[in-house]
Amino acid sequence: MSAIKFHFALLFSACLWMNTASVNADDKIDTTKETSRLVKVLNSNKDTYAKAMACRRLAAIGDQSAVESIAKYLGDEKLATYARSALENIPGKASSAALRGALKNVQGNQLVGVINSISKRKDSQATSDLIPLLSDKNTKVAFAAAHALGSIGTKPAANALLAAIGKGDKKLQGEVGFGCLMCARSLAKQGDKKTALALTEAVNQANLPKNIKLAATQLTIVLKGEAGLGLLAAELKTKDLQRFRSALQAARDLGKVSTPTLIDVYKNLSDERKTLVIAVLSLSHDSAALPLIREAATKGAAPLKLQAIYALGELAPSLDEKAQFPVATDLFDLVKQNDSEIVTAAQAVLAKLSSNQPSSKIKPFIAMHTRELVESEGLNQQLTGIQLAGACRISSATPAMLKLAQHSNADVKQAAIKALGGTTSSADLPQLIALALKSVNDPTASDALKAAGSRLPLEKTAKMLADAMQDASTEQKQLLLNQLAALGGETALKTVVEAAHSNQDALQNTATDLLGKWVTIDVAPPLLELAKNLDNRKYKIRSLRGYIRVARQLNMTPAQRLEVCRNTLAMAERNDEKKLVFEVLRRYPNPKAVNYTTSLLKDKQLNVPASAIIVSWAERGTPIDADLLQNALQQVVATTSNDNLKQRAAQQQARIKGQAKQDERGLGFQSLFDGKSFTGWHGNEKIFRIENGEIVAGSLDKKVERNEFLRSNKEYDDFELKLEFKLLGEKTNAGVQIRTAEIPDHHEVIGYQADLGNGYWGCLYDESRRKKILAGPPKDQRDLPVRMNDWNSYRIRCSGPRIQIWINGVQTVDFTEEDTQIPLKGIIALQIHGNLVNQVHYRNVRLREL
Amino acid sequence: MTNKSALNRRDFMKTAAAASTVFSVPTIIPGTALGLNGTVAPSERIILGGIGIRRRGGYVLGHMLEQPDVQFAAIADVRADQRKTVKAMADKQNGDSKCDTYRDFRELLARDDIDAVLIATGDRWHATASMMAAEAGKDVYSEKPCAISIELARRLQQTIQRTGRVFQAGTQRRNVSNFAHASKLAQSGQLGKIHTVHASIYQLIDRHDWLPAEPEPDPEVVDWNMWLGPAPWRPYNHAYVDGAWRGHYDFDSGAKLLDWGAHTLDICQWALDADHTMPVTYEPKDVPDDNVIECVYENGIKLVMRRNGWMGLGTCPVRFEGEAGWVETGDSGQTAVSSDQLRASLPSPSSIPGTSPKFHVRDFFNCVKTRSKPAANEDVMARSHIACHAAAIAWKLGRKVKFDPVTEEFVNDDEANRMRSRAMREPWTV
Repeated sequence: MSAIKFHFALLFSACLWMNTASVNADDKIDTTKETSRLVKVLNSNKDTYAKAMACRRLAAIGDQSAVESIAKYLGDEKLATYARSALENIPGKASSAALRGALKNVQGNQLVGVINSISKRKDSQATSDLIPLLSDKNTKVAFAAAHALGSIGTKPAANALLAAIGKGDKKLQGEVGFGCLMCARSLAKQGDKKTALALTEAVNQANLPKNIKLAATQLTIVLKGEAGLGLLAAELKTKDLQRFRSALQAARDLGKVSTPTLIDVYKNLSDERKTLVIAVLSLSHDSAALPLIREAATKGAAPLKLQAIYALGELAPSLDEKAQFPVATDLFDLVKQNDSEIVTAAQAVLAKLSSNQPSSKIKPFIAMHTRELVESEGLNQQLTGIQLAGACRISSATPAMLKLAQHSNADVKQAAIKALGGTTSSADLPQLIALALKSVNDPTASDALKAAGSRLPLEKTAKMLADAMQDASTEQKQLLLNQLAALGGETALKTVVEAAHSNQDALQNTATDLLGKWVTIDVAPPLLELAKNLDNRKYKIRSLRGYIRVARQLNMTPAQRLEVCRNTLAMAERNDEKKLVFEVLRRYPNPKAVNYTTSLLKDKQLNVPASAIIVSWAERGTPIDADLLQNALQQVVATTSNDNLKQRAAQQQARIKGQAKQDERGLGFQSLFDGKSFTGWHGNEKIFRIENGEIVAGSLDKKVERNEFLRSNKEYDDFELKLEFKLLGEKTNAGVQIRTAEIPDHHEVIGYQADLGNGYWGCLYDESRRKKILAGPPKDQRDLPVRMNDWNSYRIRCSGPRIQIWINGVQTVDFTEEDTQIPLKGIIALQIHGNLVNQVHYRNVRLREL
Repeated sequence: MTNKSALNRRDFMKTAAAASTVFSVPTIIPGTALGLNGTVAPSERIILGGIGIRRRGGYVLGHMLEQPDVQFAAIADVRADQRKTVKAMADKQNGDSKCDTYRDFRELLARDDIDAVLIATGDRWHATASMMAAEAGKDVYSEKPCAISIELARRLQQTIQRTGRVFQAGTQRRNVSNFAHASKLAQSGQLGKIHTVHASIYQLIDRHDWLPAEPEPDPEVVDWNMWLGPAPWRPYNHAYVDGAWRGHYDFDSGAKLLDWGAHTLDICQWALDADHTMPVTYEPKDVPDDNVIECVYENGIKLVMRRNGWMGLGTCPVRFEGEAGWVETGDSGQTAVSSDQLRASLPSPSSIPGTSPKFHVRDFFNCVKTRSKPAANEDVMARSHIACHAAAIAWKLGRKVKFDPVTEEFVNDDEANRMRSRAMREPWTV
């Protein structure tokens, strides 16, 4: 019997994922047993959903024993796809045989489906069954058969397809053509190039749609390789644009081998086609194409020239440095021309060359020629040089740029200011700052400053800008604040926060606005502080909105996010800001957020929005632990006054409950208590009794004298245990013993206890052994997940030395036993604590062994 | 048409020039070389059709309609309201009322005049519709995730190659400058030897429940059978059609991992120059309130997928760490680096957010003309999608899995291998 590691609740689960999906590699499930259970579902009169999910699970774990039961549904309109998913994936002959068998007794669309499944399994044994279907009067069937033969891809399949060429309707013929090409590819892959080429040839000769013939020609050329260059040349010479383009694609696939052919046919082509050839040539990064591309770039007509310049941009950076100099020289000739498109293109390529290899010699070469342009007499050339200096970040050009920034010609002046964004170094930055401050209303200068700041050393730049705040006018300060915000970092934040605290309204306005858009989470504490302490109501609210925005838009840990939510709700006076908090909770569900939202239900004003979030989580299938979400929904039902939400919550609760039950069954949970008898248990039946299908112990008017335990007959080592409990009384205590041993003739037992009751909720206690709490939440947080005097769920998981506990889906313990002497196996026992007036109820006890 | 073209051409030239300083592949083709000078002759225009277009699709279509050499001719959608909306959008741009509408996209694919299609349905349809379009001779721009299973990703790749079509996956960050620059930093060695790359993912959800059955609508209004398409049958509920299909196993890709992962893992592959391969092991980690999956390449480089701990540089962040430094960037266009020295090489902050397909759609149309491979072509797509699916399978299994990038199979792992594929509902055949 094979017991494969199996974890996934995949098939049934939406909700189990979040907590259990994480690495539980030790889970095992008996797939043979599970298969037979699923087969029973398929053979029962259960509904379509149950059967669909059974098929789905069988696709993942089923074996041949399930095939017969699955195959019954191959003709079922609703279930056929699910059944085929299973048969496609179940290995072995039985599934192949079942699919082949279905070719004869399934019809219409479902037959098409069966053929497709055979196609996916590439079942060559089906070839002879598929051939007659090529001429089926249902064209969809014939079409699928052609496709399946193509997919099978063997020689017999190819022969069948060849024989079918030219028969049937247009669409079928197309598919037969493509089927041949599929065969050709798989045969070529197996080394049978000859048959592959015969197939492409046959498709080429046949009367088929053009796109298929083009694909065949392309494949012919590529399969032939160097021997296909003649055909490539012929195709490149055709008038037909589509054929030409298709040939270009073949050339591209061939790579550098095709370069001589492309160069050869190039000269007799129209300019329009030359441009396309040049594009393809440049992509193969073959230096052999350089002379041709250079010639086109320098001597071609305008459109061709332009393409060739861009092709140089593609090709040149991949060449060795020596070959780049003549290209750069060409480009400097080109930037002196009058056509602005040509100039722009050549500039772009020069900038690319300059930035490509930081240490190359080409960089100073470009810098030198650029400075020459900057100093030239002609206005256009000077402008070109200025732009190039900026684009290539030539810092040695900065003094010239600063001078030209005062130029009488507005174009030159603007270009120079813009270029400073690229050329300015840290040493020159104060001058650019001064320039920007001198003309606060000129966006060119502030953009240039921003551009320079974005690449210069961060803190150093920020300090220079912060220092400039000192003697600046209000307007200048606003500009500097904007610059600092764009920069970010510690100094920038500090400076902007100071401005928000200033007594100048304009600065406060700018600063709070900028803080509200800050991109790092270190802005949160100062925003909270501003929201608390500012006098101006407008900025106060703005700061609070900025604060909650951090939780909504930026990356925080769940704990940080929750803190922001708490603080905001505590301070928010208006509904607008409260709404933002709920938006954060909705977006970032995690156990803590769910708990927090649930706790807000108690607040009358917040009940409806909190309910809405909880319901929306459930409706969207948000991955939240089923117990946790059920608990939250139950509380919505219990507390909300909004009928619509109450109804939706109840609906979702029912759905999740059903789903969870199914998930548990899928995972192999079994009930330990039948609700009627203590079968499988033993203990003091004077204390433990059965009422309404629950296990009850203790009373509300009389003390239980001593600790009593209801003990399981069986021992368990690795397991997951789930049960529900309800404790009643003023001071309560009970618990669930795990991995425990009985003490002969004694009312006490010895071992771990998942504790329950005042002060101990969810703790792991070591009963009669170390007699202390081994793990648990901080004291003040222990009762948070518990609904007092009501039913709650307990989940206890023991795997190796690791013990984990959850109450209502909230994890309270994750403990690893380090003492190797302590047994990891034992009974389970339900406790009522002695010396207290209290009562405990247990129900729905179920367990799966791991 | 004339005015629009002239205007857009200028705009296009500007952006093309700006982009060319950043991108090595693909070559940005100047407008004039493609016949974009002024008016584009009708014979030179790319005739485009749309399949299943709503929010994201509408955003992408907006950028496609701006292209002077593209004419949108037809929309196929299972929803009457969307047919109407998209037609209005296209007609307004074209200045006529000629955009055709179809309920069944097979009618659109049967048209000989359509060169290319934009596919922006839900995940369940992407691969099937893409393959059918390719077989009908259309080039394809498909929104991501392009395939709902490993098997379909591979089949889509093969079909594109077999049919000789141009394919672009809607993973547009391959054509957004800050992502390109971050990748270049990693590739260029400026970060030193790379040891770890990080890809953000969104919360993983894998639902198998069915929403309560509701009466099926009039197919003229919402064609439910066609909406389901290759996904298995289930009872109708309006919420699916309105977007609540996300997270449901039959409709979503890899428990939603591909929602962001198709982008972010893809950028990591790019940064590592690993488009020809993918990680060989995938291991879910037990981190509270997060979905952490640690993947390792054959050369030992780690790829960590996670939800939390990002710097706040916008959605879909990625981070590359080497022995000499790190870089992190995201959709805001901002880039953070570990040192002032790395900062010095940063390009000027980009105003194009990571969500914008502006350059990506142009890349596609350029390749439609030159028959080159766009940045997110079928090979690139298949690798990064399959790696994402492998990670999702590891998460579903709750244990480490090994994957062979050559055979595209899990190593000695029948259980994982059986999660690579699912059946396509009849009578869909591709």
